[in-house]
Amino acid sequence: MITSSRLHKQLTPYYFLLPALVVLGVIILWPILNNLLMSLQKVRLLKGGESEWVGLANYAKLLGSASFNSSVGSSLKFTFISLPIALVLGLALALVFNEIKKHRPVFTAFLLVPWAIAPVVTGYMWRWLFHDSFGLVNYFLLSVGLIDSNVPWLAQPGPAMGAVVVANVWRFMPYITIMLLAGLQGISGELYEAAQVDGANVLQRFWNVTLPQLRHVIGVVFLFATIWMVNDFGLIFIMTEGGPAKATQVVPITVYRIAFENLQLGRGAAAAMMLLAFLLAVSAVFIRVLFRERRRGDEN
Amino acid sequence: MRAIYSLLATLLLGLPAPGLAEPVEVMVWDFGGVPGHQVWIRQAVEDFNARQREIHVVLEIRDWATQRESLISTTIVGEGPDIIRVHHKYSVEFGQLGGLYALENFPDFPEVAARFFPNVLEQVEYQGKHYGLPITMLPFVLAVNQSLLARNHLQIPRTWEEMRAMGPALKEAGIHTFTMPGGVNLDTAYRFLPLLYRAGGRVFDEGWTRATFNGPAGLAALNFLIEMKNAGYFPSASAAYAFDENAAHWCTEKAALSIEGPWWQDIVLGNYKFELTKLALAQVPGPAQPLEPNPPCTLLDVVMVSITGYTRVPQQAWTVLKALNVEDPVWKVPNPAMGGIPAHKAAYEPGVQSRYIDLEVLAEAGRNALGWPGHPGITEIQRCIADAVNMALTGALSPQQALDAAAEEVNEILNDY
Repeated sequence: MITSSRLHKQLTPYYFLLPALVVLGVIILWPILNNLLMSLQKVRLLKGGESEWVGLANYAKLLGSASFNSSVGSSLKFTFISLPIALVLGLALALVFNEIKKHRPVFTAFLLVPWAIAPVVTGYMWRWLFHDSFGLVNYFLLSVGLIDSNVPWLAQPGPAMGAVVVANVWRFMPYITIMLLAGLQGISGELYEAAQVDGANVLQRFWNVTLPQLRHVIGVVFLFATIWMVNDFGLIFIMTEGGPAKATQVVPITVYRIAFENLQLGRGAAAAMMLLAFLLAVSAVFIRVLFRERRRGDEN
Repeated sequence: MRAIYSLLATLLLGLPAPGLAEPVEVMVWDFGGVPGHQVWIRQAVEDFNARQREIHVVLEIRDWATQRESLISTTIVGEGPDIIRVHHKYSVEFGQLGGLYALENFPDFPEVAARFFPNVLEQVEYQGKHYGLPITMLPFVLAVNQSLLARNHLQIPRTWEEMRAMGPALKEAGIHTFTMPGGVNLDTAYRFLPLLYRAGGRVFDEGWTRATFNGPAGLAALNFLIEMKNAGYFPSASAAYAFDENAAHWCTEKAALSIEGPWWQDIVLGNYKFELTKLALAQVPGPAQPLEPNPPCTLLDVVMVSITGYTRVPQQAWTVLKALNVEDPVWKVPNPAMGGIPAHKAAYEPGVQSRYIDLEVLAEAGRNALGWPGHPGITEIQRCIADAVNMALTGALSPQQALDAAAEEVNEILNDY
C-alpha cells in the first residue's frame, strides 16, 4: 500500500516538470492537434471557418497530386544536395579556423555574417546576384571567359535549383563551421600526440582521430540542418517563388500556396502534417543511431 | 432638497452642451497607395477633420499586400474599419459574405454612380449590388520606348505581326522587342490577360461554368510569346522575372515594349530616372484578326473604396467616402503621382490639364477594358494562369498542355464554388 507521503515523494519530480509540460502543451501540442483535426476537414475560412468532415480525403488528394509529389522531390533535392556540400565546406573551414591561433574571435565574427543576415535579405541579394543582365555572377563568368553570353540562371529549372542551393550553402556553412569548430576544440590533444607517436600522418590523424571524435557533433548538425532545410521557405520564395516551372517549389511553398493563397486550410494542414511526419521519422532515425553509438561508446 | 440639487447638478453636468457633441469616429484603412497618394490622403483627412465637427476620420495606411488577410480576419470577426481602399476583386469575395456594404442602401447612390464610367462601375458590382466606388482605374496599355524605335526606324506596332516584324532590327541592335514578367507570380497572369482579351478570348464561358482561356485566343497568345522568345525578341530570362526585374530590363533600354499601365510613368521616372520624353503609350497589340468572337479589349484593374458590412456608422462613412473620393478636387485632374487615372468622368472633360503622357490612350483603354471576372476564387485562378504561362515559357510543357492543365484546375475551382 502506497502511503500518502510516498505518493507525494513519487510525484514531486512531475510537479517540477509541470510548468514546462503546460507550456509545451499549449504552444506545441495543442496547435499540432488542432492542425491534425483541421487536416481531416474541409474548412471554409471565408464562411466564418465553417467546416465539413472529410476524413482522409485531403491526404488522398495530396498524394494523388502531381504538383505536391513534385514539391516533395524538390524539397529532398534541395536538402540533400545542399547539406553534404555545406557539411564538407563547413568542416574544411572549421579545420582551418582551428589552426588559427591569433584573433580567432574576430575571424569567427566575420564568419557569422551570412548566418546572421535575415533569409529575406539573403534571398534578395542572391536573386540579384544571379540576375541575367545585371547579376555579378554572369559578369564574373563572362570576365573570366567561362561563358560567352548571359545565362538566365533563375529562368531554367536545373540552374535555378543550383542557384538556390548555392545561396543555401552560403547561408548554412557558418553555422556548421561554428558547431564543428566547437567539436574540434573538445578533442583532447593527447589523442593527436598518441597518433603522432604511432607514426600517423596528417590524413591518418584526420581519418582516425578527428572524424570519429566529431561524429556526434556531425550527427546533431546533420539532424538540425535537415530539419531547417526541409522547412526552408523564405530564401527560396524570395529567390524564385518556387519557379521556374515549379522546379524549386519545395513543400513549405506548396503548403503556403494551398493554405494561404487558395485558402484551402484543411488541405494545407494535411500537407503540413505530412511534412511533420517526415521530419519526425528522419529525427527518430538520427536520434536512434546517435544514442546507439553513444551507448556502445559508454559500454566500451 | 440636497438630494434634488445633487440630481439636477448630475443631470446638467452629464448632458452634453448643444453643439458640443462628441464627433462620430470613422476609421479608414487605406491599403497601398504610391507616395503621392499617401501625401494626398493624409492632407485630405486632416482638412476634412478641420472643416467640420460631426465626424472625426481616423486614417490608417496599410500595406497593399496585406489587404486580403486583413479583410478575412475582420470579416470573420465582424469588426474592423468603416471604410477600406482595396482591389476591386474583393467586391465579390467579400461582398457575398456580408463583409462589404451595398451602396444601393444610400438613396443618392445613383446620382453619385452617374459620375463614374459605367464599365468601371461594373467591376465593383456583384449580383446587382455595388460594393464600392471605383475611384482609380488601371487599364493595361503598351509602354513604348519611342527613342529606341526611332533610332531603329520603327513605328509603334498595332498587331502581333508588326511586333514580330520589328524583331530582327532590334535584335541586331542588341535589344529585345518585348519584355514582361513571366515568373510564377500574379504579374505574369496580368500581362497574359491583355493579350488574351485582345485576341477575343475570355477567362470563362458566359455562365462561368468552365474555363475558356485555353481556347484559340489563349493558345495564340501563348504561342506568340514562345515564338518571340525562341526568335530572341523576348528575354528567355523573363520566366524568372517579377515586376522589378521587368521594369529594370525595360528602363535600362534592353527592351522596347512592355505591357504596363498608368503607374509606369511614375515608376520609370522615380526608380530609374528614365527620361520621360522617350516614353509613349499605345493600345496593347492583338492579332490582325481576332481568334474568338468576343470584342477585343484590354485588361482593366480598379481600386475601389468600400464601406464595410460591419460598420456601425454607415451614414457617416458614406459622407466621408463621398467627401474624400468623389468631391475632392484631386479626382478632377489625372495626376501620375496618384498611381492610376481617376474613374471619374469629370477628369476627362475638355480643358483639363494633366501631366500624364498620352492620357487619351489611357482614357480610351480604360473606357474599353474588361476586368478579371469577379469570381470569389479569382486569386487562385490567376495563380493557375500564371503557372501555365511560366510552364510554357520554360518549355516544361507545350502551350496547349500548359493551358489545358490550368483550365482543368480552374474548372475544379469553378465546380467547388
